[in-house]
Amino acid sequence: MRTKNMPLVYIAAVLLSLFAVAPFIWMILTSIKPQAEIYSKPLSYLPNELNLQGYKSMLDVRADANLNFIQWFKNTAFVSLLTTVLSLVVSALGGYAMSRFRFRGRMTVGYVILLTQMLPGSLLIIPLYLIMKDYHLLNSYFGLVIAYATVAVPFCTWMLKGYFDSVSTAIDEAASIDGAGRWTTFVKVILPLTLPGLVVTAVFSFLTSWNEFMFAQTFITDYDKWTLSVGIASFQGQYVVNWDYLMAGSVLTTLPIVIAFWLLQKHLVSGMTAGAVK
Amino acid sequence: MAQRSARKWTMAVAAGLLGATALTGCSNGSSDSNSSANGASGTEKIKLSFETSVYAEAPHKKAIDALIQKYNEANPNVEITVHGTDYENFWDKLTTEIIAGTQGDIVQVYPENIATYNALQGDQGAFVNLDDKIKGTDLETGLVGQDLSKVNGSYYALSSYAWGSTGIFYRKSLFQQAGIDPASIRTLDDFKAAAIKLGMDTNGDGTMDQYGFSSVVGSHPFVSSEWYRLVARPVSGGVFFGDGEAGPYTADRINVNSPANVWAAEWWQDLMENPQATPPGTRDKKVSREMFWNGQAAMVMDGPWFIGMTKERDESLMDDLGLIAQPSVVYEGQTYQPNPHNYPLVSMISKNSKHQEEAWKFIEWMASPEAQEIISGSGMIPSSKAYAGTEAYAQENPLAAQFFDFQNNAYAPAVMDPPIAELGTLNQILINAAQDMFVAKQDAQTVLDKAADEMKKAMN
Repeated sequence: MRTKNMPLVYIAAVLLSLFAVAPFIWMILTSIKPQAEIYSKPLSYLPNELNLQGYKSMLDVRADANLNFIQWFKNTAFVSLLTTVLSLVVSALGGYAMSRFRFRGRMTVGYVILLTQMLPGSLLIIPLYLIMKDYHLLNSYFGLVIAYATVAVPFCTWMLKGYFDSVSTAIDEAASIDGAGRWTTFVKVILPLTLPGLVVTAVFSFLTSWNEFMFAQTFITDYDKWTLSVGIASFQGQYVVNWDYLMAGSVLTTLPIVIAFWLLQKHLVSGMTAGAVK
Repeated sequence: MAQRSARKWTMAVAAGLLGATALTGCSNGSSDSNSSANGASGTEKIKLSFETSVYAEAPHKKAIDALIQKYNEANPNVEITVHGTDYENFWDKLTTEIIAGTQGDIVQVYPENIATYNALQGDQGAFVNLDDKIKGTDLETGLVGQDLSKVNGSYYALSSYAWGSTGIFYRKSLFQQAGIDPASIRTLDDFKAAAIKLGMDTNGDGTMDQYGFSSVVGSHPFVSSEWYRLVARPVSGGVFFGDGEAGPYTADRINVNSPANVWAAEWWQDLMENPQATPPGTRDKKVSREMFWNGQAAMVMDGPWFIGMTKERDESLMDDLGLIAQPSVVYEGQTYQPNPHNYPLVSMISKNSKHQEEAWKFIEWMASPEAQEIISGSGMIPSSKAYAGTEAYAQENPLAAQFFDFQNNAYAPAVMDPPIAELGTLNQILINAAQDMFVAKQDAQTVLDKAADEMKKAMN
């Protein structure tokens, strides 16, 4: 019976996969189509003529280049990596404390942290902007990292708490009997055991920063300091959309993430299921 | 053991603080987006920030960069940085900045934005009153759009960049094939008749593949603006307030459901429903333009920037590109001249700027012939009448010069959006109403009555 149904399962899986990847395929195809073909009727699925102008413009590193895509790429990578490191350090400490220490108001603190996730970003933008202004953090990468961390840390803390909960406290006790202090236990015993969870959390934090638009668009003013999301959005003008730029930029922005996922997929899968079975 | 642990924790916290301090080094010292806060002393450069919504568009970026470079050559002590983002999000960013008082030293907007953004800092206003620099000078009369840069009778901006209005672009070859003389299109009825004649099945397969006029039908704001700029405003005087959208701006003067506006809406619905005149379905401005460029639509309503866009899209199309003025409108036996919107990009000076005088010198220099020549590359028409009204400019830019001619000879004074803080709300109500009438095809009178009620509530 199961064997009989296998072809149907495969067909369903292929269809679902196609449904999921169709926007990406369309993005890649549009990025190599000439402008005229993008709007042509009837719709042309495959480009009749190859147009790599979008990619050439994105990767143009000459001083008088029309765009600063490479610079935006570097800015985004820098901000995302810094946010990931900061979020991971703070969240790991917070998550471990919530998982292991029994102190008054532990759960209240936890829920307050979670509550911050329920506020929409648009509500936070003006207060955050004013705080950034007071601390001279506008138009700076560090300001952006702080802003991103305010979003990433609460969620990552709860994620990591879950992973730390899945590690038996008997391991902490065993480490303690062997003479390890809290810090040694945390760094040398617990963190290595929750590595897949840390990877998942890091990927979440990195992705959130990599794709974020609203804070970057509001807090950063200099053209050279823009992040990829702001730069790509700028291809939509008041009167015209540069589709070849927009799609080529989107492909190049997506590519590192796809590669990172591919490299980390082993950890990601195990991280996602960690804690599911105790 | 406990002591050792505590020491380690202390070290970890200290390391964290050290790291944070190091990271702070990544931040920009001049993080305040109003870079004028740096102050100038002695040989220190004067830093100005120029904030504009059009910097993301390649022709404007090129023109603005060239302007700054040219200005710096003559004024090496001034450093101007440009701040801008994509058009859609520029306005939210500007709002946040004005509330926080960090807007650029110079902010470039459209005239209808002046009152709204100036009011974000309350009664004292966010921008400098420029009456003493403009009133009674040549700047007051020599720049297109300068008269639109007022709030309560005072100038808050200088129209020294460029402007644009709208006209009807057409494909010469398609007109020729249909046997239509573009000069014969004088009234809206001529326009409609031509649009119907231009709609045809060119390959004989039984389906329409060419339409007369490609308008915006959908959620884009142009769904309302094309209608009211081509049909409604000439006959009603205003879709918000009447008498040329003039004040007093009170709820009892809301004009959206006036008989003339209802007639205009029904006329537009009739045009939209004609299978030859306009394509079926919904489309935004980008699709509308593509249909024109692809030869699927013979006419499109657009501004001077469309000339540059067409050239960039396919230079060979330029020979086939023609332009006529927006037609007059005959309503109840009377002929009304078109009064389309004018789009000058005007520059305001922030009250927070520490270099207001230097900011003024820059925007004033933008009106000079050497700056105007650079600005002509932006795709819009340079503001200086002395520059854009010359024979040399007309020979170099024949289609753009036609707009200048329309403005002087064919069009009535431009009717602009009312300069009030509630404009955003009123506009959204009108866009919703236009969608109901032109996309959902609901009864014009009912929809406009409802819109009038909502507008009155907003004004109260």
